[in-house]
Amino acid sequence: MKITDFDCIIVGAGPSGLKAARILKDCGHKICLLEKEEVPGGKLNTWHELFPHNESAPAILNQMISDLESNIITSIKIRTITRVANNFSVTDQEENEYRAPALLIATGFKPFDARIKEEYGYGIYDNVITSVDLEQMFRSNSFSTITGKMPEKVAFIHCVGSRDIKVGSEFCSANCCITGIKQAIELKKIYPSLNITCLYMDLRLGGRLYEYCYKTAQIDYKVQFVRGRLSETNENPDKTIVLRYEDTLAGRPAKITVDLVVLLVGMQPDHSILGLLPDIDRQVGRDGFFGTGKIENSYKNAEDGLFFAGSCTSPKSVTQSTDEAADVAFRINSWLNKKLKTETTLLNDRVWIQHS
Amino acid sequence: MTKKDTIPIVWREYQKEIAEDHYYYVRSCIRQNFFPGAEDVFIKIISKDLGKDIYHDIEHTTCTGIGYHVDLVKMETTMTVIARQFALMTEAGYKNLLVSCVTSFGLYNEILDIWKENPEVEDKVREYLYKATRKTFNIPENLVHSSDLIYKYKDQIAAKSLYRLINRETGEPLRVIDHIGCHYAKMFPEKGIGGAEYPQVLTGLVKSLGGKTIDYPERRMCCGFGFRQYFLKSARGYSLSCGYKKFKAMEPYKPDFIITNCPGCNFFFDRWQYVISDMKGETYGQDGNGIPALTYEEVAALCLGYDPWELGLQMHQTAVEPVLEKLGIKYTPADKYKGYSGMRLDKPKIPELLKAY
Repeated sequence: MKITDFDCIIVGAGPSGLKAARILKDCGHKICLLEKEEVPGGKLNTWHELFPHNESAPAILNQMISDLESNIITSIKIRTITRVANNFSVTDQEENEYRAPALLIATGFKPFDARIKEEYGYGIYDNVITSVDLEQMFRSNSFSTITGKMPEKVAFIHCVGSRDIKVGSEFCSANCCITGIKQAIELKKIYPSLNITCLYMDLRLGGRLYEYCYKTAQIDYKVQFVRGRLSETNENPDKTIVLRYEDTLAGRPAKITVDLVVLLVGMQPDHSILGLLPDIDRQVGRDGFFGTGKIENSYKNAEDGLFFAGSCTSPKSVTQSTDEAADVAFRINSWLNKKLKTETTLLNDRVWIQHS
Repeated sequence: MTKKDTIPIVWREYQKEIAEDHYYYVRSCIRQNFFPGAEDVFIKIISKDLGKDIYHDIEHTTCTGIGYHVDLVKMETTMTVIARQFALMTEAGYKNLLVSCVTSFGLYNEILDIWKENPEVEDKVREYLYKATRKTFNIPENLVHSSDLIYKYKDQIAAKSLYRLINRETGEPLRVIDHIGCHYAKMFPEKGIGGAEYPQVLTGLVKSLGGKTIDYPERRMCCGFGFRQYFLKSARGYSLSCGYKKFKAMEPYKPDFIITNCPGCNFFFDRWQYVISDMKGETYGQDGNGIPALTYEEVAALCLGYDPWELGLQMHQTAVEPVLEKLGIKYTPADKYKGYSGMRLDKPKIPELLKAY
């Protein structure tokens, strides 16, 4: 058991944790970056290329880690988070204690568990995979159906676990549309003869260059976009998948058979740390994400030294996560400076009183 | 990637509550006419083989389900009739309602849900019932379909079974198509075992008895009964098309038989194979046979060693003999067309294409 003091403890060494750590370190603060996995990087370890520029995720991660030039404490299972005087005290599985006045939660999101949307057959039919599984296939260069056959037809299903009251996720995950488009283009680049159909509810392409990617997918890569809601998947004897959907523009039921189905899973709030946080009800919005998302409340949060950044506060892309992390890091910096200055003044006051 | 599993994650945690004993039994209108032996053997299995208390009341009537679904009976009337069944159950001193028909089961659930959402409707129905019959009622504490009960006691049934759903010649599990009536869980998935997408109610029974169910592309589609499709003569083509689509989808999987939990579905799987064979010249079983369509209690009873002809399996238009052979069940072919008293009844006209025995 060891007690170490810091200026700020950051929980989660994903893109936002890494970014905030670097800025706080550059500002001269002593930071402690804790990660539950064996390696830092969070979900960046899962992705192959990032939209919209198709940058390599491993390369970006390596860059972020080397930029930090600081130690990341990995394989940490946080046991408790308590307040001791003006500090947060975080203990891990080996009962090491980390203390700091500021605590930044950057625990990220978890992908929607597609097994809950049972009618889509994930976890039941072999050739129904998720966008996360597809990224792993890209990374290991192992794109194929379960029988080892090269698919000829692939369908992407948008909004799986997003905007769906039935599974308790009413919000839009904001990143799945562009992920699907990015993955479709990636697939067509490697296998130009592949026939790709995307079944979408709406296409929400609000980010920079997203619309351009969408057009490119249609014009240059001939990806088919069908406004359709999937009702169920079924498996044929040859393990191909039948999709029954409603073409919502034509207003009629329709059916296609494909070799592989990719479910574009939404982003869910990861509540694994929630039970440890003080005053939990105040920390979570009605959508389950941390914080309230209001500007004024973000500053109020700063009064108690607890901060949130990244995709734990709402569904975000890597760029948006790191942008928020930078903003929060600068706020932590001002807060720490103000706090340290106040404490020094108080100390001096006491010294002065003592001398009188 | 997650491990493949046939039971979806949500249904591993949630299981419908099924009372242990003491049921007030309400019958199906059509089942007693189509397959009277099935209704009869269900009561035998529950009361004799399993030793449970099951009360059948000659006073109860139709639930009006068919009339309701074809817009002949008003909702208020349906609700009052169902309130009367509850009143009879209350008078008999029972708290658990056991429903034999899938459509009735759906309708009871629907009405209980309406009353839960709109208590003023329940008050109104109590008033109607009191004016008409001077009866009052309690809401059932537990409402189950008869297939739920067989599911609950499937392992006891399997333990007592003389036959397993295993092909006697090959030693392989029989390949079974399970078909759940639409009104069983499609309206209220939580009221069925395993929900509406991957229902476990029949799969569980088949598994316990040693068989294997097949997940095929049209698994969840209607059998073709779909009241409006069948009862309106002008729409009857839809009914046949549905059946045709189902048979075409299940054919490549070479199923040994179909198991159903709905009286209507069983009748239509059974009858449409005969009609389609005459209309289109196609049969879907092996060697010119059809795919036998059995109800869940017929399957349970066959495994328990009941005589197929006592069970009334001769009432099926698609011959059941291929299944009896595969199971290795001893039966006397000559007794097939004997009446209950032993008197020889006439043999029905044999269809041109579909094999009959």
